[in-house]
Parts: sequence; C-alpha cells; structure tokens
Amino acid sequence: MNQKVLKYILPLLLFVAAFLFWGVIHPELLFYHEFYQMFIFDKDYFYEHIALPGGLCDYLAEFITQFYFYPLLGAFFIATLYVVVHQITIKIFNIFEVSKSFYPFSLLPTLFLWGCMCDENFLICFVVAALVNMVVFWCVELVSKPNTKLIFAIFCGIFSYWFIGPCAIIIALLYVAKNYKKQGLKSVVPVMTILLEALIVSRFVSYPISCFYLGIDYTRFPFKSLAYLWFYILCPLLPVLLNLFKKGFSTRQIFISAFAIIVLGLFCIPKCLDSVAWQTIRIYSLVYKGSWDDVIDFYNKHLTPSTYAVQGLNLALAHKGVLTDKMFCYYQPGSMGLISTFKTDMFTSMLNCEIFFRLGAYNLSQRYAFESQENISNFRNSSKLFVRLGQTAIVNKQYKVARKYFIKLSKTLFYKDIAMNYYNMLGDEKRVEEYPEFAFADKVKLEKDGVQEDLGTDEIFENLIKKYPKNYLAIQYYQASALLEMNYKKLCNSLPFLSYAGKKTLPKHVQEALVYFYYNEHKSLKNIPQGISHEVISAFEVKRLEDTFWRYAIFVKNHENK
Amino acid sequence: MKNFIYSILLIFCFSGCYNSVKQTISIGHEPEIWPDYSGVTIPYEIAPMNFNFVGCAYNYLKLIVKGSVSGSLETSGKNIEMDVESWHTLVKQNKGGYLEFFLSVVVNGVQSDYQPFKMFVSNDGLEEYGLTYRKIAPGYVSYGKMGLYCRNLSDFQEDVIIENTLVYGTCVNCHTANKTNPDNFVFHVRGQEYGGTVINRNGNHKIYDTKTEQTIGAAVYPYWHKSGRYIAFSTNLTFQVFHTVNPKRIEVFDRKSDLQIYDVDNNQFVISQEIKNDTLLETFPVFSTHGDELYYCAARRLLPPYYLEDIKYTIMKVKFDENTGNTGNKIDTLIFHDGKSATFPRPSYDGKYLMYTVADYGTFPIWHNEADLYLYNFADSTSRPITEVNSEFSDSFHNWSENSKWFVFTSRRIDGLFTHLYISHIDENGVCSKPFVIPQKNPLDYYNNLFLSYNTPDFTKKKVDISKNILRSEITSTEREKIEVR
Repeated sequence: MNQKVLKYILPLLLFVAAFLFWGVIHPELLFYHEFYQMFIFDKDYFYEHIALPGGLCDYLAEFITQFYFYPLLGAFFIATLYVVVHQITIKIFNIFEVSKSFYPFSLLPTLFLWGCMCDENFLICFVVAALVNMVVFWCVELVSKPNTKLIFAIFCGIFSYWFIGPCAIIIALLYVAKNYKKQGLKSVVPVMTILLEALIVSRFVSYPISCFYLGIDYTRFPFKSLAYLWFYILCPLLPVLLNLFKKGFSTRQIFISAFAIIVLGLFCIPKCLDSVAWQTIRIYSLVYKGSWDDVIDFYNKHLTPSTYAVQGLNLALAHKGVLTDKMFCYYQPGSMGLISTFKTDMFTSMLNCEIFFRLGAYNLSQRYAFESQENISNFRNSSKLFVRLGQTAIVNKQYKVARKYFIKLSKTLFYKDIAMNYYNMLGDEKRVEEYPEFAFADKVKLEKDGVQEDLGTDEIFENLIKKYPKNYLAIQYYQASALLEMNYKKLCNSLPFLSYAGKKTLPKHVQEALVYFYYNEHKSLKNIPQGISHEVISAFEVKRLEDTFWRYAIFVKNHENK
Repeated sequence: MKNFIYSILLIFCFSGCYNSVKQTISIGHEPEIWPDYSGVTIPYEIAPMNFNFVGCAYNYLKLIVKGSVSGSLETSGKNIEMDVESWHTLVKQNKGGYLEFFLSVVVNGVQSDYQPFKMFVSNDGLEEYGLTYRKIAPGYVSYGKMGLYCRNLSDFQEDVIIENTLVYGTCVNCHTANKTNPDNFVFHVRGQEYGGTVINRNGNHKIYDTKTEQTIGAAVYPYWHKSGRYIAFSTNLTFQVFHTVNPKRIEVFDRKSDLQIYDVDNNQFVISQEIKNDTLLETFPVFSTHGDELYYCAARRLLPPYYLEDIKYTIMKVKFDENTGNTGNKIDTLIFHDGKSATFPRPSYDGKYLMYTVADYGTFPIWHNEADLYLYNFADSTSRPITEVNSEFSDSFHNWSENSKWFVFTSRRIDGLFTHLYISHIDENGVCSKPFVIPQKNPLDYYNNLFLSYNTPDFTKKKVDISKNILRSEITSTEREKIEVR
C-alpha cells in the first residue's frame, strides 16, 4: 500500500471514527452541551459576545453546538472540525518542513483535542479557537519578508486575542518555534504582546485575571478541566521534535506508526470519559425524551450507578408502572434514589425538575428548572429549560411570563416551532385546556398549598394522590418512599391508594415488605392477611433474597448495626 | 452590469411604492403602545421616552411630537427611536407643559392617524444623574450572573459598578449611597470564599468584616445618616421556603434579626440595648431626614410551630443622638397596620413624608402580589395607600430623589414575575403621577429579552466610579477591616 493512500485513509478514518463516537456511541455528551445553551439569531446576542475577549469564537462555537440538537448532525460538525484541524496540522508540518514520513503524527493534536472533549465540561470553543489560530499562523507564514512577517504576526495576535481569546498564544508559540533560529529574541515579541494585551484587557473587563489567560469560554466551570492547556505545548513542540529526526520513517515504519497512533487513540480517548458522568448524562437524556425502555435497558448494561442514575431509573420504572415491582432488582441508595434534596450542582436540579414535572408538582418543577438555569456556571441560557419554564408557567396560568420565554425561544433554530406552538395558544384559554399536556396538568396539579421544606416529599406525594387518585406515578413514589424508609405505617397508609388507581393486586415489593414486617412482629407467616401471593411467601420461606425488598432490608439493618 | 443596475433601480422603485402612503384614515382613539406612557409625568432630563406600537403588524411608524409651549420633533421607521439631543431640547422647552404624541401607523400603504396622547413635563427636575440598582434573576437559591449597575437617566447608557463575574461565586447586594451621593457608598459582597462589606467614603474605600461576636451575623440592610458619619445596619438570619402551589413561589423570612449603628469615624458598632430584644425581629433601619430619629421595622419573634402569615412588622421610631451615636430609651410606634406588615420605611429628604410597603405578612414583599406602596404624612400623621401608583402585582422597594419630588420603585406589574423600575412624581399636595417604566432604546425588545429583575433601586447624583481592578484584588485578598463593638 502506497503511503500516499494514508493521506486519504487517515482523514476518512478520523471522520468516521469521530462521527460514530459522538453521534452513535456517546450522543449524550452532545445532548448535555446542547442542553446548557441557547443560540439565538439576534444582533444583541452577537454584540454581547464580541464585547468580551474570545467572544467571536464563543459565538461560532455556540453556533455549532446548537446543531447537537440532532446528535448525528452535531457529530457531523465535530468530525468535520477534526478533519479540518488535522489538515491544518499537516500544513503546519509543511511549514516546519517536517518529513512527510511523519504524516501519521499529524493526528496527535486532533486526538488530543478529542480527548479533551471527553470531559463534559470542556467546550468546543477551544477547538474552534485552536483551529482558527492555526490557520492564522499558516497565513502569517505566507509572508516572506521577516520584519513584515513579525509585524503581521503581532497584529494577528492582537486581533486574535480579542476575537478568539487567549488561545491566540498558539500563533505566537508556533511563530517562536518556527522563527527563533532566524529572528532570535525578536520572535518572542508576539508572545509578549499577547500577554500584555491580556493584562490591559483585564483592567476593563469584569472577570478574574486568570480568565484572560485561561479563557473565559473554553470550559464550563472556571479553573477546571484545564488539560487543554497542554495543547499550547503540544502544538508548537510536536513539529519541532519531529524535525529532529531528519531521516524520517521507512514505509513500513509509517504504517506501524499510523497503526500505533490509531490504537493509542482508540484506547486513550474512551479513558478520558468520566464513566459516572457520561452514564448519568445518558440516563438523563433518555429520561428527558421519555424513552423509558431505553433507560432501563441502558441501566441494565452499565454497572457504575450514581444516585442520579438511580433516580432516572426509578422514574422510568414508575412510568412503566413497575417501580414497586422491580425497584429492588437494582441498587437503591435509599430515599435519595427517588428525589434529591437540593444541591447547587448541575444534576440535582435537572432531575428534580423532570421528576416533579412528571408527577404533577408543577410549582416544584418550575423551581428546579429555575435553579438549573441559574446553576449554569458560565451564565448561559438553556433552551430546554426555557421550554420547561414556559410550560410550567402555562400550567400556572402565568401567560405573560410564558410569553417571554417563548418569544426568546422563537429566535432559536430548533425550538422556534415548539415555542410558536405554545405561544399561539396563549390567551386562548380553551385551546390551552384542550392541549393534552395541559389538560392532564389541570387534573393532576396540586391545589393545596404548603411550603416544601415543611411538607417534605411524603406530603407532596399524598397531596398529589388526593388531588388525582389515579396518579399512579405519585402512588408508586409514595409507596417506594415507604419501602426505602422501611416505614410500615406509611406503607399501610398507601394501600388504599392502589384501589383508586384501579390496581387489583399488591405490587411485588409491597407484598415482600408486608411479609417482612408481619414476620418481624409475629415470627411466623401464619394467618398472614390476604393479598400476598404464594410466590412471595415461598420465596420468603426459602430465603430467595435476590431482587427483593428483603435483601435491601438486610443491607439497611446491617448498615444500622455498624 | 447594466442588468444589475436596472435590478437595483427596480428594487428601489418597488420599495418606494411599498412605503408610499396611498390613503390616510383617522382612528378615534389613542394608539395601543407599550409601555403605556400616555398621561405620565416626566422630568425634563429624562431619556427619550421611546415606545413600541403593539396594536397590529405594520410596515412603519411615523411620530410627530409637539410641545404645548413650543417645538416639535419627528421620527419614523420600524421603531420609535427619538434622537436624544432633539428630545432633550424639546422637553426642556416645554417644562411645566406637555408633549403631544401624534402617531401614525402605515400598513400596506394605508396610514392610520391615531388620536394624540400626552406626556406632562414637570417643572420639577430630577436633578439626579440616574439610578443604581442590582439586576439578578428572580430565583430561588441559586443565582447566575448578577451585578450592580449605574444607569444614566438622560440617555440609555448603563455602566457596570460590579458584576459577580469579577470574582466567581460571589453575590453583590444592598448598595446604598448617602442621600443619592455615591461619594459615600456601601455594598456587600457575599460568597463562600470572599465576603465583606465595601464602604466607600469620599473616594476611599475599604472592605470590612462586619461579623462580630456580639452580633448575630454580618451586617445586612444599610442606611446612611445624613452626616455621613453613621450607617444603620440590620443583621438578619434569613431563610427561604418555597410554595408548592401557584401563584406563590417563595417566602423569605428572618428567624433572628437585630440592629446596629456603625460609627464610620471610630470604626465601631453601637448596639442599642433598648432596641436589642430577642423577642423581636428588628430590621430595615433608616435615619429620619433630620438625623435625630431612627425608624425601623419590628415584629414579634415567633417560635416554632408558627405560621409565616403571623409575622407582621410595624414601623417603630426612637430618638438618635448624632453626637454620641446612641439611641434614646423610649421606643414608639410610628406606623401600625392591623393585620398587615409594614416594611421598607423611607423618609423623603424634605422631611414631609415616609414611604413604605404594606403586605399581608412577612419581610419580603416583592414575592407578595398584594404588596403596595403607602405614604405617611408627617404633618398630620396620616397614612394612605398610593392608589394612583399601585398595581395588582407587587409594588415594593422604593427610594426618593434628593429633591423629594420623584421616587423610584420596583414593580412586577408587567408580568407578575420579573421586577422592573418605575418612576413617579409627587406634587406639593402629595399626589403622585402615573408611574412610567424607565425608558429604553427599544423597550419591548429590551424588556422581552431581559430575564433579570431589578432590585433595590436608588437615585444617584453622579456616575458611580469604583475601580474594578482595585475591587477585584481587594475582594480576593483575605484582608478585612474588623469592627469593634461599643
């Protein structure tokens, strides 16, 4: 095979691998990124961005991120970006006169960026910034006269810093790497200019000083996910190091190196994923879409459960009507597996918002949607949260508030239709009442007020059931809560609710719990009340604990005894 | 090339045809505009009172503004954007008179001429540079981007005093100037890592740690003494709970609160043993106009179990000795509303009135739709609701201009959730004018896109000028001035 074939195969492999990785294997990460932003086609939105250093790059990155709404489309954009980064790396290799036999090494910067992107809080803004700056460097090197080139590099650095951000340092570092031999210390001037510019800008813009060096929008959380900083070393150092090997590789070595780099990529990139984070995000994305079977399926296949993942699973089981039949087939971390108490992290509010929305506690769902929105650490808006806030506002008949959310959403590309659908029904009470989502909400939503902290979730579940006795989700949650707390009295209180929901038999775990409590009190199962099936009684008698309430009860008891 | 030029010419011709008026009709009522500025009273310094036409879809608008005394102004286009200088000239010419707005709406070549509406130009100027306020989402526990801002009321310029992007994770609040003069200015910075109270006095500022062993926490609600020597603070242990059912969302209440007077010259807290009372919740202290009295709100401190609806505040008064910083022995009730809670007392700087907010209960009326503004008249010791200003939604925090002819207040009347700022004039008889929301270049666009609420507005004599760089380094340092207690 001719090594020139690599020139076509490697980019193609890169594209396909990236497309599959982001679009098919890990679409949840794209969902997560898209969840936490709202790109609007509005001149003020553009001006807000370019008023900050790196703002234009951030704007472009958000433009791309909006396409993650369709993961395959998002994956297409990312894969294309990778190929372009790869191609520009080759151009830079040519500038440095790196031997063409080192062609496979041109993949390394792209693979590095790919690995960084596996951190769910690393934003594509940096990838766009790196690409733009590498292109700018390539343009700078087209200038042949040294002094003109230097001045051009300085100006490019200054402009790039403002529009693209501190990643402009790549231009300067590449410039030094290429031109130090010929220009000496003069070649360092672009670096100094950018560092000085950062200091000057910091006097006028309200951000911590480190942001002007690390970037405002390269990561979701300030001062975290900083592995990308190694790119500032990798990018200029790689061609310099490769240039030390003037001899180059033989054809056989080229293919071996290509193979090794591909294998390295295949091995290392998945390791960059935080397994708990991506699994939690996957479950949440499925919960958001209401794909309950997929939630359960996914949970069955992956074994690093987090409390959040369990919450998603329990919601899915409840939607399938089997929460109190199957919940103990899975790890349960106690009551936290149903609903979390409030915490200022990204996941708690997201999940609580969904759970309360599905249960019919719309005011609480509204609260958590709001908290999620305010928890977005880079102060972005979220289109999905705006939809939820608009929906809960309609349920609460706050039409003017709802209007505001939908007017904003009407300026987005992918939420425009849903926003206009809701917007057009505002003011038409009849149309709102007839809309299935709101018709259901009207039946289910709480009417008896209380304050959340005083009430606790139990009273909320009870009030939901009293409002709409057929709210089987709320009934299951109430019973699940009793099971997880091992609260016999609460469990008994919940039994009449089942008849409201038209259930003729007791759920499996409820039967198991009743057997457990009855046996603890009477030390035998003689005269146990009706409603307990023979299967449950036999399983208890032979101590078949797997997938039962009893295993959970033993675990809790052992834990208490410790 | 020829074809290209002909196409361009054709486009111009067609657009001309499209825009030209073929027919004019008169409409027998005022246009439907937003904000509803019809009948408001404005100061002559105010920025152009741009508005949007919301009656129907249209091609463009034409506006002629005529002064009752003299002058006129014309503008046209997709939006009403009056030229700032021309506007100021016109308004100044018509002080004491009114402006008449003749709006025409062109739809598909048909021009509809609406009945004119008026804005009255007060003889009383604002005599202020503008406003300071905080903008923050009307949220629950978490907060995103927020900051303190300074708005020039003569144009649309808004400057940042401090935003919480300066130091991540911080919250900034309770900015208060001394009688609208920001040479004496205080605000709090809160956060897990960096907290403190910034006191700016005559251009010099320091950051203080206002927690002491003798007080229950850091200082909260501030108010300057007219001399600039004292700041009255409350200290509050504040909690929030959240309603499960609409329309209420949040209740904010204090479990404990006390007052202290900060002597700026001696860097000391003066704690009044007469006021300090564990059976009461004292908050929102303010000095009287003449500085010889202290007003504050007090409610019985209830022990659990209790209902939040039982927490009702009354406005108290006590003598204050400017020389010693001590309060008197006798505490009197100034304002009591049976079955209601009175909060946010704010005396006018001319000593005539005290404005306050009344809600059904509690200490945080912004979350109460029934909250309204009231005016207490010192001359005859009577109170009345400012019905000409109040709305069906929360009307809450307020402050006076230094000449006491204008006041700014927060209101949720637009949509019931997001708080906006309104200005109203009060005449010599104590009658207030129809309030107007602070003008924006394109108000509908601006307010539709604003998902933040305005908080704690106050007038300011001049632009607030604090160096962000110095603030940044001071806030992130661990050094804080300590305060003694006497």
